[in-house]
Amino acid sequence: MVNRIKELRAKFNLTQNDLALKVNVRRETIVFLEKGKYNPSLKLAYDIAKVFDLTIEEVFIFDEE
Amino acid sequence: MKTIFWPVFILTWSLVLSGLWIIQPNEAPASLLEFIFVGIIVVFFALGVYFGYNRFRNKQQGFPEDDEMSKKITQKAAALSFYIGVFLWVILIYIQSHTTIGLNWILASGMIGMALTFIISWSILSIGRIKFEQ
Repeated sequence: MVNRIKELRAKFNLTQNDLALKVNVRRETIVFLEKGKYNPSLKLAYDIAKVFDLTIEEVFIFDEE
Repeated sequence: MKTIFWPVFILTWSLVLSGLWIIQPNEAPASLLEFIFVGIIVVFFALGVYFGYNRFRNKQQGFPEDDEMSKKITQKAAALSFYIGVFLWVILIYIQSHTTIGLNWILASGMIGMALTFIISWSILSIGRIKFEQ
């Protein structure tokens, strides 16, 4: 699964710290997410999408492979 | 899980065997191996302090001390250390029956080995050196 968190964060002018505080996770979790090393729970994915005012599918793109 | 198994397994066993080497009664002065073993323990202690400090800093900055990823890392590390611990005890029992090393030392080595396995797994997963699988 790939995601657009880094791109959207830049677009909304948010730092990793800002996003982490908004969705109530540690900064390391955002780092892992952006590097594609961690797939979030449905709740965290929803919270992140909500910050960017998008749907989950617009932020997280499921890769069949 | 498979990717992390062998590095952790080999590292743990080198530590446990080093421990067994150390506790064999002898009058000789401390060997290089003993210093290496103590050095590795110090490194793990420093890692513990580092992660503890990070946790404290997170709390000070308004981040949660634990979140879903840190909980999953702890769970995975616990599962992995249990899995490796089974093999560890089997080999320790074999060593105990084929050497003159006392039972107390075998038990101590096993427990230390399990603790070290957990610390190693947790550290590797936390640092993110290995891709965190779901």
